[in-house]
This record gives sequence, C-alpha cells and structure tokens, in this order.
Amino acid sequence: MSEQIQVEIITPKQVALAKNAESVFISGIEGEMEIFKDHISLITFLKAGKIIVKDGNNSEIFFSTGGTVEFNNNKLSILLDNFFNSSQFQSDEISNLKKNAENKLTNKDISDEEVYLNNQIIDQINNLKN
Amino acid sequence: MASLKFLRNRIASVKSTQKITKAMKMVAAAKLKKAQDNAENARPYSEKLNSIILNLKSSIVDINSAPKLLVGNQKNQMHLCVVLSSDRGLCGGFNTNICRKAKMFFEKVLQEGKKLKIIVVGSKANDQLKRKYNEYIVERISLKNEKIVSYAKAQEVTDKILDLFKKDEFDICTLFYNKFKSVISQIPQAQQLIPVSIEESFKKNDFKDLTSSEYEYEPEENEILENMLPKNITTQVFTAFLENQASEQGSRMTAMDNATRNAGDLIGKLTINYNRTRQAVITKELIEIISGAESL
Repeated sequence: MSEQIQVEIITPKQVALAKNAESVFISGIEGEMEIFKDHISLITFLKAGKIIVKDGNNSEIFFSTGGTVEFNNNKLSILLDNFFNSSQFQSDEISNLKKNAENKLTNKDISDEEVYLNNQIIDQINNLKN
Repeated sequence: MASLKFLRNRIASVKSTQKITKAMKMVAAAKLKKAQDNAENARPYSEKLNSIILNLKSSIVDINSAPKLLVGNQKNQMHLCVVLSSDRGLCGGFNTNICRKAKMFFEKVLQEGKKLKIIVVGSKANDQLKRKYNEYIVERISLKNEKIVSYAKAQEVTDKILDLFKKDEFDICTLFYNKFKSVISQIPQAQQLIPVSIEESFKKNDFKDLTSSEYEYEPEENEILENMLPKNITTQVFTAFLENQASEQGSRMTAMDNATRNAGDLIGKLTINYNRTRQAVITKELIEIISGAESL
C-alpha cells in the first residue's frame, strides 16, 4: 500500500473528494497524463475531460470542464471549476455547460485558445452522453 | 391617560410584530447555519489557489514581464471600490457598517485628489451611497434573484472588474465586505484585489514547505499565472460573497433577537399601563356609584 498518493479534489463549494489512490488520470491542457507515486512536482491546467482515480481494481470516474492541478510530495490537489460524478453525467447541468460553450463559440472575438477549449468541452460532453 | 381601547390595540399590534421578528430570527438562524457551512467549505479552495499563486510569484524574477494583474501597473492614481452588500434590510448594522468603512476609504481617496470609481453590489449599498457618491458609481449589480450567491454571480462581478482593468480604468481595486467572525460580531473588511496582495493574507497560514519546492510548469509560469489570476479574483469575490452572506444572517439573527426582546419589554410595560388604567376606571365608576347612592 506504500505505492499510494493522496488525492484531493476541491471545488469552490466543497472538498469533493479526499482519499488515497494508486494513480490518477487527468486531461492536462497539453495532453492527457496519469500521475503515479513520485511523479515530479507539477502545476498544470486541465481542459474539459474525465478524471479517473484508480485504486487497485476500482476506479472512479469524474468529469470537469477545467481546473488546476498541483502535485507535490505525493500529494495531488485538483482545483476544479465544476465537478460531476458518474451518476450526474446525464444531468441538465452538463447540458447547460454544453450550451454555454456553444454560445461562446458563436462569438467571433474569442481567441483560438478559447475556441479550442470550448470545442473540447462540447466534444467531451458528447462523449459522456453516448 | 390613554384610553383602554387604544392600549388594547397597541398591545395586540406589538404582539404581532413580536411574532414576526421571532419568526425572522428563526429563519435567519436556519439560514445562518447553511451560510456558515458554505463559507467554511469554500476555504480550502481559496487557500490552495493562494498557495499556488504565491508559489508562482516567488518563481518570477523579472517584475516587468510579470502579468499586470499580479503586480499592478505601478500606479496609484485611480481607485476602483467594489462594495458588497445585501438586497434586504432588517439586519441590524450590517449594511451600514460596510458603507461606513467604504465611505471612510472614499473620503481618503478623494482628499488625496485621486480618482474614484465605485461598483455597488446589492441594492442596500446603492441606497446608502447614491446620495453622496452617485457620480462615482459606474456599475450597479443586483442580487435580486440570488437566494444563495452562486459562483456565476462572482464571475459576473469579476468580469466587470477585469473589463475595466483591461481598459485601464483603474490602478487599484479594493473589495469591501463583512467578514463573519461570530453571530454577534462581523468585521467590515477592505481587501485589495488588484494588484494581488497575497502575502498579507498568508502570514497567518503556514506554508513553509511551498517556497522551497521546485515545480515543473506546464505551460510556462507566466501563462499559468495569467490564467490563474482572474480565477483567483473570482474566488476571492466568491469567498467574500459567502462571508457576507453568513454575516448578513448572523447580523439579522442578532437584530431580530433584540427586536423580539424589546417587543417583550414593551408588551410588559403596556400591560401594566393597561391594568392600571382599567383599575382607575373601575375605581372611578365605584366612586361615582357610591357618591350617587349617598346623595339620595
């Protein structure tokens, strides 16, 4: 059991998850990655996507449209803008997020980066729904 | 002496007022618990965010290349003040305390000959400030449809602030709100949002291990900062909202408790008065009857 890391998922509203796990899969802004014990200290952003907390044969799947990740001393802190567990994947809130992203895309002034991020949100939500 | 009927009506009316204040007190107490939980639950997020930003700040060597939100534009001429209040009254000195704190700051800024801009959130601050500072108010945000202030509302406020900052409309941004200490004590706060003044809020917390650690940044430090700083401001505004809400309920609870007690005292006094009057009337009638009988 020494191969575990501490995982903390925090949203502005609450501490959504705090437990030990073997690895965590995240969708970083520059690519997907999985963090194991003794990973180098890291700060990065998340784009829309799944967060999978794995422990042995168990894995919990969450979804978020973005956030910040800090890994230090085998402690992983994930700060999320919003947070959904697998039972909420079909909820209206997620549909609203998708609509929001679609609305933003109709605005011509936004930067390429925002276009990419919003497209990512739509793609990922479509993925969830299927 | 007032008539019996008048006193009876008066007692009935004070009693019904007392019922209302008592009910309001209980509602506030129930809401307070929730608001307090919300405020406490939000703390880990803002603390963590602060610690990451502090970390990044320490890794920045060249102050000129740093994002402006972090270091400001090195001027101190134009002030933007964001005053958070509530939309409802009957909560004791809650709104007045915030406004008093804000007014003191406004006077200082104006005396020094600097420019002032105000954003008011909640209609009560607007009511109190518009008489004297109407010309300085640039934006009014209502909380009318917000039972519990959402993150989205904080986002809305932040967007307005950032929009003004981008247009170079101010140098320093200060946020006014009430910090919840306990049910009977709420402290009006003036917190500087831009440029970021993290150190101050951080002295209280122990994050010794953070500055020493080496991080891998993905993407670059500056890019991360540029993305994180607006988020940090939103979080701070959101936290302030939550603190404010807890304070409002706490303040209302105390105010309504006092009102209920005062109504009780008043009812007691009026009842004594009523009984005296009643006795006086009876005595008077008796005297009239006796003297009438005697004269026969």
